[in-house]
Amino acid sequence: MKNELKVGLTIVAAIIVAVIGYRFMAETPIFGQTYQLHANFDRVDGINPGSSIFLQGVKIGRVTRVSFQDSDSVNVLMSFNVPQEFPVGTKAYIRSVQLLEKGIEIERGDSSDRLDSGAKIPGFYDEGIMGTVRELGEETGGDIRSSTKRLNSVLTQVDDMMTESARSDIQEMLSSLNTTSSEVETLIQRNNRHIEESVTHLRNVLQNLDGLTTGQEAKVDSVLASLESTARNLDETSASLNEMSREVNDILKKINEGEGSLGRLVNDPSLYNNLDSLSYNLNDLIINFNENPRHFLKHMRLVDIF
Amino acid sequence: MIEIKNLTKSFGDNLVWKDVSLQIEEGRTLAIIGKSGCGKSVLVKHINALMTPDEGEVIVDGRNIFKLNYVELRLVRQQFGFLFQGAALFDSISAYENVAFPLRYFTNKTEKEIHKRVTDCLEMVNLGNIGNKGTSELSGGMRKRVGLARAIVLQPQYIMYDEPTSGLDPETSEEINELIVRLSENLNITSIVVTHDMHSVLDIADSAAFLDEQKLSWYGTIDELRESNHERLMSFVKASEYQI
Amino acid sequence: MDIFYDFGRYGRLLYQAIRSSTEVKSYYRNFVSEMIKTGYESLPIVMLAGLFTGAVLTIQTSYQLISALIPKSTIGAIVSQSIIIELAAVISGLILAGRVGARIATELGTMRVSEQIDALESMGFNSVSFLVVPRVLAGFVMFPVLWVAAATCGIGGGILAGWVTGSVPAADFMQGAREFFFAWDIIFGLTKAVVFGFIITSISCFKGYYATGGAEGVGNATTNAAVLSCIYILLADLVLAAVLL
Repeated sequence: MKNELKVGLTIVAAIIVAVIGYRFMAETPIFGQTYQLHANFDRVDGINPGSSIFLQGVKIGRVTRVSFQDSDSVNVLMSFNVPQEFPVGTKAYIRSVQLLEKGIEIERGDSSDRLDSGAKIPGFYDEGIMGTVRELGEETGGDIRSSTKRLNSVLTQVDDMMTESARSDIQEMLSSLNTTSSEVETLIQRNNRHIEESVTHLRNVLQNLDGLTTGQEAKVDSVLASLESTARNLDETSASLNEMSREVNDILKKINEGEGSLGRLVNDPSLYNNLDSLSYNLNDLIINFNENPRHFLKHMRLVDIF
Repeated sequence: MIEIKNLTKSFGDNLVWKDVSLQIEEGRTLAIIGKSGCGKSVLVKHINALMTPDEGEVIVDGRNIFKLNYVELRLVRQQFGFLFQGAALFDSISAYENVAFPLRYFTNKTEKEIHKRVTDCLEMVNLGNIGNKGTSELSGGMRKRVGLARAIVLQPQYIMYDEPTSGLDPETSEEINELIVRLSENLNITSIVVTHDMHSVLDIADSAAFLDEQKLSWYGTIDELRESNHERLMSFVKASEYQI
Repeated sequence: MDIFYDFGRYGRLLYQAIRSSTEVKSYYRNFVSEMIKTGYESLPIVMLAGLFTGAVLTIQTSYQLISALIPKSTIGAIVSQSIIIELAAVISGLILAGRVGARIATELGTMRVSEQIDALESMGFNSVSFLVVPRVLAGFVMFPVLWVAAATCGIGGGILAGWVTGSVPAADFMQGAREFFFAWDIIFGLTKAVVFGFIITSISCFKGYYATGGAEGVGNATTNAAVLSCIYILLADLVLAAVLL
């Protein structure tokens, strides 16, 4: 009888350990009944027994069974690990809970009545993030293609520009720019002497005028007239000066406005935009991967190595 | 009454013996003699169907035992006691339990009745106070006697002894031989003794069968044996240094 | 040819065992004591093996998976799933092939060569139901029990090793283990345990029951029983993985 007792105790202990261990691992309450609800969905892509169920982002249960209800709907049995029953009006949504994984999200109803275990709640299939991504991908596919094409042509042009002749062109352009500016300087210097002379002349004139004015008022008038013509001459000089500076301006403006190869290189905004969005997208992907690496890795089933 | 008819046995390509026919009368003792390895033990193991022959039949009380179903065969086997060469005691249980073993499984006796029967049997083989000794504590002669007690505990009609005196000193051998004679006389048991000890044969047997050259070479009563001039039989008897 | 002959005898022995499995009275007592010897007394070695397997697996997996991209819970997932679907059954199977298989083959082999099996038969016992059935049945019943012990200790050992070496916190380990916990894995592991138990006990009974010759014959039977059990365990492991996964 002692042997029977030992065997019996061993088997019973194993069964108890197995049941507790199972419920512990499966995150169902170790004692007492499991709270379960049914939901019908049109389709359940990505949902398997074991898929997670969330409420406001917190994991509260698992899918226990997926079975055909009738021809056009699928019944999903969900087991929850919650202290309280859900209110009537609670709904279930199949959504992408992480980048590559589908899950069920529960939205609580606001009734004061409670759903008993085994009750049925309405289920909805959301395309979710992956759906959006797919649409977005379809939309932006063309754009990306043309952007790439443009980027390509820009790069080709840059490449062309960087040939020997283009480089000497740029060199020439820069040296002629240099000459122009030194010419402008000489012009200003020359005019400076003229102005100084003019001012001396003016002083002499004023002195003469001083001498002349005394008793020579009649002649003052003619002097003023000649002074007037002098001033007109001065005007012309400044106009030609203006002309010169406008020409310099024009050259700079051309560069600025993107005419010619150099201008295009400096000025095409689409090139910058494309590069910028590319780096932004890469950034996004890396953040996602960092946050949820196992969803990229899950399907590798590392354990199958053993 | 046991009849062996035209029995042939071989292991693979090795013929053990062929065409062996014997009759063992009720209450008599047959000795099967022969050299080591001539198939004496194999022959007795056919008598209660521990082995099956290639050809021939063994008829016990009018029925061919190789044609019986399992339940019928069990009943036939329980009419046989079998003392094996090494006694074949179950070494996981005590000597007492070995003797009690068949009683526990095949009778509805109470513990008290079992105790009485076991004690009787042990006394019959001169092992009055064996107690609860383990089988490993027993000497060779004691093992044989416990084996014998176990063989007779179900009150069989037939007992087969496979080399009952081998490995024992002459005095103990003599004791065992006396036991065999006493059992066969007191309980009217038919006995088949496998041996190469001519002492035993002449002391206990009524008839003898000599297995040699892969066949039953000579078969007759002990009186005929004493007067036989069968060449190989005589050389076998002489080799055992027994003066007739 | 010999192998087919052996298969034939093995099949016949099993057939006799199945046919005589109704004679509960003749093997009940042996059945209980076999469950003690096969199950109860094997618990310590199996638990020890599980503990060390889990611990070593955790330490080595965390050594292999040093990467900022892989969260620590992955280690828990790998260790617990490996133990449940593979190692608990196979490691304890291989150990028990030595412990249980060798014992059964030696017991039956000794009984065969010392004519104890003949003695049983001559008393009118069905030696197959008396000796083989209780051993194989005990394997059926106790191997799942041993598997539960091995798996529990394996996961426990994994948690312990992760905690002691500081490579995986217990909470991370459990999170990963639960993430990759499927009821099917349990069924798979238990199926393996039952199959391995059957392989070990039936092959060892076969080898012991048909042992020939003296001490050397028993030795050969024992060696063959242990080696064949191991080979067929590995083979069955492969077949089960291919069929059930």
